[in-house]
Amino acid sequence: VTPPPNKPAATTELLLLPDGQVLAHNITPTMAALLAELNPADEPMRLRAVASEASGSFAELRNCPDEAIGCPSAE
Amino acid sequence: MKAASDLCSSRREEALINAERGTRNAEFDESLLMSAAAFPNRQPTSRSALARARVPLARAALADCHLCAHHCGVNRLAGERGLCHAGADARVFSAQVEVSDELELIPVFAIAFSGCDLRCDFCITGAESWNPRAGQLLQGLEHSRRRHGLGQSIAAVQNLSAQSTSDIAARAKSALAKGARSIMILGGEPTIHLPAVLELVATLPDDAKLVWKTNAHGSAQARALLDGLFDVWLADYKFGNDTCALRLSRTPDYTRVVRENLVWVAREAGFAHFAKCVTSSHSCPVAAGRSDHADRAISNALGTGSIVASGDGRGASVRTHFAKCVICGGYSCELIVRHLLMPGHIECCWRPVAEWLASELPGVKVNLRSGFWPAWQAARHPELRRTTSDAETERALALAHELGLNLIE
Repeated sequence: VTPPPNKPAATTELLLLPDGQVLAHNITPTMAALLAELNPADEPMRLRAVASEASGSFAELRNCPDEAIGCPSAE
Repeated sequence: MKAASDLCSSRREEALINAERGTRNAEFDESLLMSAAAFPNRQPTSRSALARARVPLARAALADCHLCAHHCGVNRLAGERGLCHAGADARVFSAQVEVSDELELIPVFAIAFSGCDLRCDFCITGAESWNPRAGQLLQGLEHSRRRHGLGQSIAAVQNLSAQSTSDIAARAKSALAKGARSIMILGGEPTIHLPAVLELVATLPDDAKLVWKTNAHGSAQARALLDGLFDVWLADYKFGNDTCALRLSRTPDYTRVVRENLVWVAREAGFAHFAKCVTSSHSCPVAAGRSDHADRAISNALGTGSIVASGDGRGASVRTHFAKCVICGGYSCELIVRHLLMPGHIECCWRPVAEWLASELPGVKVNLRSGFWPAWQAARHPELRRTTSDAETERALALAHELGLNLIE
């Protein structure tokens, strides 16, 4: 399955608020790890990052640039 | 006089024929679903088989669409559109691994269908949820066969990229192999695309943990088609009163419908169900009011240990399940209720929701989501032009604790 050229294989949306809050939607494993690193005090995000890491072979996804499971580049 | 089995069989076949023809008067009712479970030679032996058996019924339902509680009654097979604007084709706007959902479900491979029967102004995926033509066309097996039979592919005609059900299923299987814990089907609202959903479920591994993410605005017909297929129902309970529901999502009669759905999941397919589990024919609580169909299905269940009956006394209450129940070895379907805290709606929406859950579904898992995002057309409503404040979140949590809700992350 090849995603349409104008759309990335995986998407997370972020909303950056003036007060420094970051809201995230459709968080991918990579984004969870990134957000957890940006704010180690964010416990819910840390748990999501841990859940990603704990799922074993998901580590290989971290090294995949587009996280496109099932896409040719990730197979 | 026809025997009950013959009558049921002929009605079902008539419905299938009508579905193939795309006629408006395709007959559908819950008893048709019963026929598959009631007769040993038609009883599906797996979740995938059960889903596959229901695809023609779901397709027939599009000819007089009552899949959601709006009950538009339009013929989607003939191009008519109801409030959701969806036609006969389903589209997917996202299919990826995510960790945004409940900790017990993640990582999840989330498959999001375009289109929805609600019109929430604050919808975080408004562009796709309000537009069933967003995303990529999903070509199911039946769909492809029908189109190819006419000598043309809709994707080719419209020059659109398309994904097949088997492609999506392959990606889901790959995700599971790489560590995803569950597969979630969501939207928009997937209920409006039940034929495609069932085709998809039919191609997914029987042992995969399947999550049905829904706005809980489905009809009894939709519930019958979904019964026994999902391990977890993740259901939104968005509004605490009908006034807010109508104003923010243009949905009348919201409270009654959502509560009806939640109770059905919890009582008919969930934990409360097991208290009435049938482990022997003589202790069957369905006995009062059971029909011949139910009798035969229960007898069959006792032979396989795979069917659980509920005690609602309506007869047509046999459920087919494929996971483990602590009582009978039957299925354990779980309900998680979500509520997105909306700014300015703690008292009018969260409080009634929380109080009802505490009263009617004690112990049910509740996820109180605090990350309201003033998305889409939220700005139409002054109070929704901001995020929830820390004070509001704290007040909402305090209420949850006060009521003894079973909060999960």
